[in-house]
Amino acid sequence: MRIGNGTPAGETGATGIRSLIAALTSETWLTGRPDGTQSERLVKDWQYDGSRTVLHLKLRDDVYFHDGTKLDAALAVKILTGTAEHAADEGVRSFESIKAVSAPGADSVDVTLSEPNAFVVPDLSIATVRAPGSTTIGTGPYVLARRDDQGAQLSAFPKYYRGQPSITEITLTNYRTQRNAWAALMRSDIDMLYEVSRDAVDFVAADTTVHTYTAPRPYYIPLVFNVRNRVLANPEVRKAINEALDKDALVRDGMNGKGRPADGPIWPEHWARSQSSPTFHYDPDAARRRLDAAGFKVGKGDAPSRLSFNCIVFADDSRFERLAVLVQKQLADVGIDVHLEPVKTQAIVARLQAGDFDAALFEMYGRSVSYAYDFWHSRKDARLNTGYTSADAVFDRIRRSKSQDEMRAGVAELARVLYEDPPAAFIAWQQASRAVSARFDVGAERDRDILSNVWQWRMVGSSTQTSR
Amino acid sequence: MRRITSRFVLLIATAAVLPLVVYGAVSIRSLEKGTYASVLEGNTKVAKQVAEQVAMYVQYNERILHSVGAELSSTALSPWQQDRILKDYVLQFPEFHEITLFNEAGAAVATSALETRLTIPADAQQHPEKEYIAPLKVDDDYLPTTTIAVRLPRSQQGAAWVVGEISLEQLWRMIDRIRVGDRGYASIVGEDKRLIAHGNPDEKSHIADTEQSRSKDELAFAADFLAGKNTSTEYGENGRVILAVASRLPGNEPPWLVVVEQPKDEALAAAARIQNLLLAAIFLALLITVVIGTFWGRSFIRRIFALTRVTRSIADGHLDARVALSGNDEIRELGDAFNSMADKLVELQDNIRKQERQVMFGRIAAGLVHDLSHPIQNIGNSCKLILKMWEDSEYRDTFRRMVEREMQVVKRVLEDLQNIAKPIPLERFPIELNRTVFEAVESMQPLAETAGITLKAELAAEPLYIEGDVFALGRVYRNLVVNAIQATAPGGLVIAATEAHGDRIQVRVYDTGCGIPADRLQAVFEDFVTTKRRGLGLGLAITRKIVEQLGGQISVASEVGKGTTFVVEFPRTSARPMAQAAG
Repeated sequence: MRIGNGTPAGETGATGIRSLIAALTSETWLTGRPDGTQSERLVKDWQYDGSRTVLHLKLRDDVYFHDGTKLDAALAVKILTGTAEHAADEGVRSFESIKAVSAPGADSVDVTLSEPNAFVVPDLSIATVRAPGSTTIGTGPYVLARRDDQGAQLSAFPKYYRGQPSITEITLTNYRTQRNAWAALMRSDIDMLYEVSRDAVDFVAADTTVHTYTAPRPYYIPLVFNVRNRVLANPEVRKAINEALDKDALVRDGMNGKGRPADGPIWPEHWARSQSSPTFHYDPDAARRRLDAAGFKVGKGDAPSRLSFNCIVFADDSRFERLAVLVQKQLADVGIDVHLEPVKTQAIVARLQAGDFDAALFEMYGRSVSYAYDFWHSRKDARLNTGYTSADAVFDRIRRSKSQDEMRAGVAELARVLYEDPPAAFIAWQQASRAVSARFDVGAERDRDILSNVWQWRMVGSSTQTSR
Repeated sequence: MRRITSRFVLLIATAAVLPLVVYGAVSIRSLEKGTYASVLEGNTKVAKQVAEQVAMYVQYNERILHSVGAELSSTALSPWQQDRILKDYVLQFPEFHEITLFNEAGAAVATSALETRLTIPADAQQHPEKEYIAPLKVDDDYLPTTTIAVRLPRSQQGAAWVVGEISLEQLWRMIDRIRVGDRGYASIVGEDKRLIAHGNPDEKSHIADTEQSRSKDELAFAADFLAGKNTSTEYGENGRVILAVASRLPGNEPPWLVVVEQPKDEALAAAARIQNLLLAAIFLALLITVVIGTFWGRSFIRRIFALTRVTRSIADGHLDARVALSGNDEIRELGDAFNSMADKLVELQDNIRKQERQVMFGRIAAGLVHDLSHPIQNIGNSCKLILKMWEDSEYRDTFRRMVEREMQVVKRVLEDLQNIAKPIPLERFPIELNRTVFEAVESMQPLAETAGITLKAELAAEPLYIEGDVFALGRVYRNLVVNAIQATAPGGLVIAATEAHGDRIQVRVYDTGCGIPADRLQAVFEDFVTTKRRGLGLGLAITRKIVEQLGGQISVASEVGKGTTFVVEFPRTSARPMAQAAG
């Protein structure tokens, strides 16, 4: 199977061929469900002790790495320890709470925490399991055989614990742009388009030679505010911005309808969310009144506006260009002048971390509450250097929660804080569309990413593989 | 028997259905041609309408740019206002990827994009008086794009050109909605015959195909149409015949071609359905006609067959056969008439038989009277004399000889009568035919001389042997010779000849007599048939009987006024007479 990916060359971790390779070659300790809970994967059972500082993990006994090494408790200790040492780089900051990892049995691991951390278990569904010292050797259904600038080559892993995949070879190809990759799919140069852009979904779906699969993507698009900015430091301004944005129109016109409005950084279906949390509604008049009351009146200058600020946007990602222009227009309607500054992807990340921005329009991962903590807590090495601290206390309470009820209460409180002092305008949750040649049967399920069961894909007409 | 039935059915089928078949064939042919022409005309109209829509799409976008240009150039606008206007237009009109304002130097003054990718097309600058639509080009994604450039009428704030890049994906949406029937689609071909849009989901991928792998027929049709050679065509595609028509855009701006394709079987489906219905109707009509014709014809012909059977039966001699016909029509009347005729025939036959019996009895009586009266009279006369001359012993002897002689005559007549009714006792021995014929001729010479006729024997050179009865054969020859002499006038000729013909031996007796009329010729061998005034007429009957009993056959040929020839034929034998065999 030939898979094409069309994202900017300076890919982020969220997109691009790297994440695709990771999805095919690696696995996590647990599987994250759409509602934010976890299910077994390499770890088949887990539970805390009474103090909630020792997490007991029970491993499967039939998992092997691509180099043939069997995953046992000793190896798991080594891996978890290594992950904890590089928790920030691995994207599992909660692992910084891990004090020690031990193997009381051949297939059991004890993770000892320095303090209760409710994010550890969710982060077990994010932390990638790789052989110690390797960035490519995992336990996933495919083995990375080659990787270069043009793409990668993978082959089926015969000892995959769920059964050897029916598709034996996968070729990954990088394309300069989404449109480039889409055109390659039309030409049948590739069998699957990893990500179908919002603009192209309708056309690709109309093609009878491919099937298009759309599922909710746990990434949201925020208009992030740097609260250190003179005008954006005022929460009334930030509230007014939220009220000025018609998120339904932004999804409809800016995302081609491929998404849903967002009202916070927590996944809408997350089990801990409260449906009665306060949210902003589109009300430009209310936004104007709020700005008037805050002292931001329409100026009489060359460009009459109440206030203005700069907004950095992905320069080479067409997904954001149209959305940014729409946001700019809607804010202009209430007298807020937004200057859009296209910035290369890597530069955006650096500027975000350096706090060198007024506002930024990009995307963030939101399935796990731990990531909301990572993005919106004002830690020293926070992913976003926005100067926002209003939610630190509630995030800490959530992190230390010892029960589901405590978690729910914390999340509800978080929603209220984010409403009273919004660090961003949470615009929309995205959808991921993938296109696969009709020659392949991917066993699609509603609202589930087809990549989650890539090991079950097969050519249409071929018999299903025999599981081990 | 079936021939008349078949002909009858065929007659009805031909008379009733042939016109229908001819009409159906003409109708079907006319329907096909008419439907084909109608489909082409209809699809051509669709192509023209689509072409108009595409032209309107392009003109619409041109007007948008005009509107943008007018808005930007009518009043003094600051850059941010220009920027806002362009962005508003792009948001409002998704056909445009980007709209950018350029100054005379070609530098971008304002743009809807974060970073412009456009420039003023060089060709547009050469013709600034009208809108410029750039030729289709293929971008890095191998997808077609085009650019429209509009010169602003008044250059204010340095703005001179507004250039917009059209997203042809929006055009695709329009083409996707075009459907002709269930499987007919529209496509757009550029000036270089490059595929711009295709409504068929299965063909859409060719737009991005670098080789644009389309059939030669499709490309040839596009070329022909652009050259004005062909307005419609048919070609094969994936095993189906496709009807294609095309239309240029109005005013040929841009120089694109709209092609409408529809599978021929779908296009002519309605006509095919009607055709099938017509064929079914014709077949049904033929079937009904044949069934009705057969049913009715059989009831009609059956009576004729019955009549035929009875006729044959009567011809075979079953005069009591009658026909019973049902119905109340002319056939029934024919049957009744036939039965009446048969009744009359029986009656006539009975009458004829009676008459024949009477005639025969009369002839037999006359013959008997003739043949017996003379000897009886002689005997009677002699009896009268013997009474007177009883004393004369010589007369008594003469009386005895005379009575014996006349009694022999009576006995011969009575024997002939007796023989004609039963087989004649014959003895068969190998005999030499020439000799018996010669002896018979010799014995008849005195009679011939008396009649003044020349009697000859012309015998075969070789001996001819047959199995026969010498005495019976002698009678046969004498009978034939006597008849010949009696039928020949004085001075005539009678010849008895023998001849061999392979394994058959012929004896021919021919004369130069008066001949026998043709209507009596076949009856000469019948009993009691004679041309003489008196006699029983048994001579030739007995002759034939003897010949046939000996395994031979006799025939006669005659011509009135010229003569008669009797031919007797016997099978040849390899046996030899005992005297010769011994010797």
